[in-house]
Amino acid sequence: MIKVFLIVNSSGKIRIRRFYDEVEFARQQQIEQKLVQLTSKLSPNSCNFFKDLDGIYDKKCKIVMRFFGTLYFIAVIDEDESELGVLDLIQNIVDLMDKIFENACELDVLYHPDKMNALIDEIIVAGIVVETNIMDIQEALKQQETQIKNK
Amino acid sequence: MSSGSHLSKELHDLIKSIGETRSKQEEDKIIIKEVQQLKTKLNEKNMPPKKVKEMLIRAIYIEMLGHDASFVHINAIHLTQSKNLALKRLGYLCCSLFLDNDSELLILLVATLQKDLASTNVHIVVNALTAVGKLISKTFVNALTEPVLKLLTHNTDIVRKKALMVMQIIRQLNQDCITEQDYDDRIRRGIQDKEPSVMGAAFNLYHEELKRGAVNKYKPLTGTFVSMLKQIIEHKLHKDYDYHRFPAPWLQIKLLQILTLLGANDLKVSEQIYEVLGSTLRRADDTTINIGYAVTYQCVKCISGIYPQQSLLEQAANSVSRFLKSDNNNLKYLGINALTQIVSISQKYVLEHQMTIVDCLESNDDTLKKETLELLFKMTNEQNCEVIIQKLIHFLKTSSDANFKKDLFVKISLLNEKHAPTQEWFIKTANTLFEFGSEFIDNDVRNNFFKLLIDNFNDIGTEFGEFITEIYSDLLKNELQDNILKIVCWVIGEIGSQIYDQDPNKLNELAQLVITKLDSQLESETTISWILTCLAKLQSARAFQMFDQTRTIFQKYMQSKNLDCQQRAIDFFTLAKFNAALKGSKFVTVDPKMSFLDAYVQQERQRGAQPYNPSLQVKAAALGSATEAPSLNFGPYSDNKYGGGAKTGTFGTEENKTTNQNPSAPTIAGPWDDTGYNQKQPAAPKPVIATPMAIGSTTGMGSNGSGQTTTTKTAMQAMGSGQMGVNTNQPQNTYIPPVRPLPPKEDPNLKEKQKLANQLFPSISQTQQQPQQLYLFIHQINLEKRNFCSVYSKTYECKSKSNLSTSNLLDIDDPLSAQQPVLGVPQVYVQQPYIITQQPVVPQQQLQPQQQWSQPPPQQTIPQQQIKSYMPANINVDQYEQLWDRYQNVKEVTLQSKIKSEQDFRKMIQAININIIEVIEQEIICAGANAENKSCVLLYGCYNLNGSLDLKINSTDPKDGEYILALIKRQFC
Repeated sequence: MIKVFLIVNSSGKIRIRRFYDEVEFARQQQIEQKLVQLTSKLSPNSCNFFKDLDGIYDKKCKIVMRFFGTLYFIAVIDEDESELGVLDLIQNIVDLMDKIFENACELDVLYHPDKMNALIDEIIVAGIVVETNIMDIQEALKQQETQIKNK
Repeated sequence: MSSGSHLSKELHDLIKSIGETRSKQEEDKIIIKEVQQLKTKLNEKNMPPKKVKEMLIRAIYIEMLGHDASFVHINAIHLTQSKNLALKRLGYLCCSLFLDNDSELLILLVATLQKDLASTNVHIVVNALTAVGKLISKTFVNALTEPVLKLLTHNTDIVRKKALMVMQIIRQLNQDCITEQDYDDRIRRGIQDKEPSVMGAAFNLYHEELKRGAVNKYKPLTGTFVSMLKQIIEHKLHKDYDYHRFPAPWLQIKLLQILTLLGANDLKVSEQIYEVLGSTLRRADDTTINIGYAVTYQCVKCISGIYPQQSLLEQAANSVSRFLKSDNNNLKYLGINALTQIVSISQKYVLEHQMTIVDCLESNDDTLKKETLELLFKMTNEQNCEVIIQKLIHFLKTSSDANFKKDLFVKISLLNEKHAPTQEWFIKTANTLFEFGSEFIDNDVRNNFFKLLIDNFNDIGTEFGEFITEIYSDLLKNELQDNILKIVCWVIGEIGSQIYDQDPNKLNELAQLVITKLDSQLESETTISWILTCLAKLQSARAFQMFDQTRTIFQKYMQSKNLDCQQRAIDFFTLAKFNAALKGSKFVTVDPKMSFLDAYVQQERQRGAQPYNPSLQVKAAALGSATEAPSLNFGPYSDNKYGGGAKTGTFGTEENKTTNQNPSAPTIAGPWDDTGYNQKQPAAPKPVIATPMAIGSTTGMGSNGSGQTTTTKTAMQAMGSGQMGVNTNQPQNTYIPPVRPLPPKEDPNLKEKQKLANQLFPSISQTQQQPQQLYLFIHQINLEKRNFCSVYSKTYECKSKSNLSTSNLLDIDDPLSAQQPVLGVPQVYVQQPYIITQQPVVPQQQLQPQQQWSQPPPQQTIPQQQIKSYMPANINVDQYEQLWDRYQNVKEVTLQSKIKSEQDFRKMIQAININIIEVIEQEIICAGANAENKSCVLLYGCYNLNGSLDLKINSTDPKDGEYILALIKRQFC
């Protein structure tokens, strides 16, 4: 299960914040802060996985982190979730963003939090990855957008 | 790139200005201004929807930066009621992002959600479902269950899929909403759905159920899952589900996770899985894309999770070892993780990849290094430990990462302890380890190491002792870090002094080496303490000669500013004095029969003197000294001592005979038989004079315990008399319990003999006194404040002597360390005298409260005082209940108090100074004891949020209950 999904820019500003378990707002910010600090450990060649040894979220959890352009994609996952699977899921999300925003960049995430969140909601429901087929998600989102425009 | 052109200038400016801020303060200023603006604007009527939308997006932005935007929550809820899909979606999004599950505002949403879930517009339904998934809580789960379940048969797959997930959440929140049967049916229909995406979602539900422990229930479904996996890997799914031409990888992963749980520890189920697992692994191995590796990794996890099968394990180890050779650190990491899993089943398959694994330690990636270390630790055994430890030490030398080094240090020392092939190797490795990781040596490490050494030394003996003393004295010739120097000092002091007890040259050499270290650059004063202790141990060796030097050194450090160091110097200095005296008396042996006096005695007897009856004399001596104990007396035959005025002769009388029949006194006879002084008495034992009793010996102690309080002085008297006539082989009888006082006899012969003996052996009486004082001194270091009855009985022997001194020195060794080394053979090394002496005869009130309270209930009555003080009682719940039943003084009250939380309650308990035993929600039980008389107080309290406090107090003494109640009323109500 995915516990937290974050998109953070390279200067540490949160762009998307999704917590899938009930976590108090104050603690959410603590967790974010520590995760942002952790991004400093990520270098192009290093491992994208971290064990949450310090108990940022929970000591049993693992942290998957990936850097694209100016954005860090961070997921905190529980022990059952496959690290590589989530890493590719992030890739999937980035692919989708590219398709929806046409050459996505940080500003798209900023200006369209509604679209961005709708996209994530299609993929992750209640912390569980329910859909990984890009075509299906794209189709679903497109339909929504057309309907919004038609109205 | 799409710009924000369609959005308002305000949002654009906000983002821009925030982006340009340099500090948190600047950002805060901007946000405060922004919040003000939003607040006023949102309250304006007839805002165009587009404006509202834009303002909410600004609010999201503000909240994302970590600021409070709760003023828009109500607007978000309004928005969900909009007919415009875009606005509705944004409204739901804002609600999911902003509102907690227990927010009171949620109640306003329920009606909207119900309506939207029943909508004919798919997108409205989907958005509503997403919001339900995030926001649903126990309070309104019932209201939404029905509409959600209806959606499971919706004709759009996206809706069915999400409805399944929401159903799972509903079930988690409230089991009663959906019956188990119904739930099972619905997920079964889920995996039979014609749309693979719905099927995939249903897998998650099974996985969750299995994780919750419902494994047996779903075992019959194994076949279904296996065939599904088979279909997927054989490309039977639609091409849409391929990811980089790999068939539905996430579904494969999910299925593998399910199968792992189903097959765990179950051969039958596992057998159904083996085949498909093998082919899944093969197919995943053929790909070179990341997601393929993810499936491989999942296969390995599955293989090591289910009932193990050899060929699969081998296949798994091989596939995974490829990961290790990859340049990609992610793969290496997973490879290591996977091997760690396999290792826990069998080391066999992993060992061949040993060197590849070790190389992963060279990586510059922390995560990877940590995992590799963990794996290496698990896979080390006797065969490969030399290679692995060498490698690890190499990393310890070269690494600059302190955390990693600490890990390494701990792991290496554990491996070394566990798998070292020979002792020599063990010691050498330990030394190298200490050398390169000296900063990690703490008390635990040290004590652990000492224990190992001493255990080995006790098992193997001299050979090992010589060997390690050799190694460590060699080390002393080099520059050493303090931490290692401490270890060396300990070894030389503890083991060297025993091994070379009789070898003055060696002892001198060792002492010289140690002394030179005092002049070297030391990091801290405590090291000096260690060196001094080492010298003190060395000087306790029998052949030690360098007393002058040690005395000078101790004298020098008596001025040390370090208190510990100073104290030691003073102690050891005093010891040195006695030690030196002891040496002079060492090898004197005495003819205990004193046969040289025979002629004289014969002569006297012929003149009509009475024969000597030893049992009476000795016993009287013991008794006399035990009861009076006014001063030291080393002349056992001084008649006025035992006499006490009663000088009527009863030699050879009835009384004498009964005494001899007394079973507690038979061996006192020693060199004399019971008919009196008899030179023909054969096989008299030969005690070595000037060998005082070993304080630390277990034998002989305790058996004399008749509950008497004797001071150490009397013990010494008993000892003093004992050494004249005691059979060394049966030391427990040295000291005779006072059966009944016997009138001692004056024997003119003896008096004479005594005189003569004193003339003949002046040196004996002198020297014997000093060692006794020495041991008394040592003993007093330990016992100073305790009043123990100790009876020394075992005659001094070479072996136990050195043990004795070391044990006592050890006892006062390193007071700074929190933990004393727990050493191997108890009676030799760690024993502190009071353990083996008799029951401490200490007045009860002097005992530490904790000690007494470890065994409740203490029951003493001492007059109470007006102000009572209490102390915590360390008892557990069971003991609490037992005690509760035992006391009959229950007081039960309900008070209106200031106590409204556990914290308040704890404060109260703290104020009374008793302790909490257990907290169950709002009920708390505590126990304590009256500090004066140790009577027990038990308290049960139940606080309520409104301040009402139920209290039940039970106590040994009802006054305690009343007192505490009054205290609570006064201070907390």
